[in-house]
Amino acid sequence: MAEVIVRVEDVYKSFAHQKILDGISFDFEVGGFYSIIGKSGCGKSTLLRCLNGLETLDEGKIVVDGVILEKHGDHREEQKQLLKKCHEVRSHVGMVFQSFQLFPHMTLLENVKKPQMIVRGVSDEEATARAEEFLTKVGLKMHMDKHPYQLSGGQQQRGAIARALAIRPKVMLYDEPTSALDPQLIDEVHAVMKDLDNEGMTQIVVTHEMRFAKEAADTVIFMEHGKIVEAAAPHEIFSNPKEELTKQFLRKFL
Amino acid sequence: MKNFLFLFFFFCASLQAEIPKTIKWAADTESGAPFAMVNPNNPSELIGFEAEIMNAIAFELGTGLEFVQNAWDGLIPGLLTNNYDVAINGIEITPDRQAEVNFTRPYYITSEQLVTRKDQYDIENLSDCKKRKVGTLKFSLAHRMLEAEPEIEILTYESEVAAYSDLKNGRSDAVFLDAPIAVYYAKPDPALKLVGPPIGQMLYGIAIKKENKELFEKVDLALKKISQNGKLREILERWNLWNPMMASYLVDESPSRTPPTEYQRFLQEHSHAVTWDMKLRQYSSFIPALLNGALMTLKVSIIGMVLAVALGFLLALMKLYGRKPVQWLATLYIEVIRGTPLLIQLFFIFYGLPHLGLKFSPFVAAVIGLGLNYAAYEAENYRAGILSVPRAQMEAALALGMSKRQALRYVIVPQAFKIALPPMTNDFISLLKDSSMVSVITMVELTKVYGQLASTYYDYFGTGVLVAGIYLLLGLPFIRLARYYERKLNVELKQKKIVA
Repeated sequence: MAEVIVRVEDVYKSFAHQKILDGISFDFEVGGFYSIIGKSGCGKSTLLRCLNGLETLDEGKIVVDGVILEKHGDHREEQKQLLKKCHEVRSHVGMVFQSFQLFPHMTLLENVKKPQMIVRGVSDEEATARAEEFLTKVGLKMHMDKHPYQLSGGQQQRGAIARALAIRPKVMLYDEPTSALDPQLIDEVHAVMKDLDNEGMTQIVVTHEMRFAKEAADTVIFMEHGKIVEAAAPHEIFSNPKEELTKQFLRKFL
Repeated sequence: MKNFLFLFFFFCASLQAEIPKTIKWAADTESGAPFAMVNPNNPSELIGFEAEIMNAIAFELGTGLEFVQNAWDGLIPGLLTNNYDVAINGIEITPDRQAEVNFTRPYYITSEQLVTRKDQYDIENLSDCKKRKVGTLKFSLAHRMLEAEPEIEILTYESEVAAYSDLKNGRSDAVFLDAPIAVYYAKPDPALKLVGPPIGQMLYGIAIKKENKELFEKVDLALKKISQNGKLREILERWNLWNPMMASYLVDESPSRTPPTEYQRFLQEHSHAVTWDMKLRQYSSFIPALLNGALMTLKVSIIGMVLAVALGFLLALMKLYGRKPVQWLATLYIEVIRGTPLLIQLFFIFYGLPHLGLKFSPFVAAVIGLGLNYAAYEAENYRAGILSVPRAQMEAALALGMSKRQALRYVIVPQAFKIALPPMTNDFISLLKDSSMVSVITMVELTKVYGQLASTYYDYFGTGVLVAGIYLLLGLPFIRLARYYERKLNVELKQKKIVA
């Protein structure tokens, strides 16, 4: 049994009286590759955003590499505590968004090196060296002086992955990383994620790409109505789902 | 605090007890002949019978003189806020003014004069003016006398030249103003005539702040001296202003001794047949004064804009990210400033704040006034800019481990700034034009220079075209800049769209 790096314990979350997360518990292990699947609005993106503190919890707790995120009051001191913890968690967790969100006023190189300098206080030389290393890794070194608007969607997303990697996270979160991409650009992003998996990175991907979930993930988590319905190895989920809801969902997709 | 204030007042009082080495005197040179005006042949020199009286008084007192330009209706407020020591500019001695300031003995006595067009035969006195339009100067005694008459439609003007030209253009039926003005501006004009007997009696006095007793006594004494030794009469005669009222006031009924040389010179300068060559020479002589004015306009505008940008940015951040009370404060500021006229704000800063012990030089007051005003508009620009940066950009920055402050500084604000640049540049051009309003707080900038030159030379058209041209030239680089940024932004947006 591998070590648990992200533990989710009985998490509840509502937006405007609508339950989005309805009692979620799950242990993510070091080096695992997890795919979260489910219909739009099932709470999968919210769960992901809770993992690095972009959303607060109504109940329950999330432990990321020893740092505990839980419900905090409105009091100023408590809010401060929460901010501090979120900050700590984010230093262990990288996140990639559906719409890339590279910073448009910076070149690709700056996108990757500036956050290290701002957040970690790394020197310019060191940050540049590290940025070039990660840009090489995602195959974008020759484009590093371009601005985001000069890059294709796939290139932008690979750049965003390099930017997240450069702060040396232990866990990578992906929120539908390929949904905004043309089909022919999807594979290049998936290839980068597979490489990272081979290097032992813990990755959690919210995705609609069943084919990718099937071939790349160690564990597939199926969610519906704010609950985890079923979580298992892909061959089990896809060929032999246990739950009726899972079957219904997969019938539509496959 | 009380002690401090007491010391402060004591300090001021002790300062005022002595006669200053240089007397600061104020007038509005835009009032024109024969009071105090810029010498047409040498724009750096002041002429006019009041300028000469001040020279004679300074000579008697053995002090220097420093002139301060001030809009006419602000002359007494300026005295009260210690912007200068004395004000002399055809200010009539009236009980309500005496309640505010001290007046010396009169240096001139005159009456009001009705003027109409040559071809108008049915107006002889004020009672003929019923249901007609009569022009006069704002806040003058003539204005108040007109108000006392029933059923007269009063038109008020900032300058006598404007009042008389409206009469000539048929926009009014008569002009009712102090006799010296009529003698200088209406009498030489072939289209106008002086009608009826002199009306009323006005005493012009030199105004000095009530607390400034020592100076008041000295100036009054000096005035007495030049009244008695014939200097005052000589000055008035050269300017063709000696009249029976003055003769009886000074008990000097002797025949005239001095020819009206200054009056004749004035007439000569204004009756010249104007050739293009002369006009051109005249306009080229305007250039130094206009350039100085343009430079001042640019200086006030640029520094004002820098203040507006800095404060506007702060306000935008307060409104977007501050706690509730801070947000309200910013909103209140923006609404109050945007909801009140810049003119009132300038008056408030320059004439109002000194009552609270905050006194600024005209330049500083102008910069603060424009800066504070435009900050409200800039704040909204930046707010719009910041709001137009997608929210996800903030999340991306936070997810990378930046604090909110870092995210703002390195990610949001640089993008917002780029979006806000074109409207900012446009605002700067408006500010450049709005800076013309600071002439009301004694700043001599481009518009004030225009007023001075135009009233001195009686040429609102040519000078106006010239000044408009200079404003355009000043604004042109910024218009270009705005277009450049707009185009650049559009290209980037388009490219973004193609990729998406």
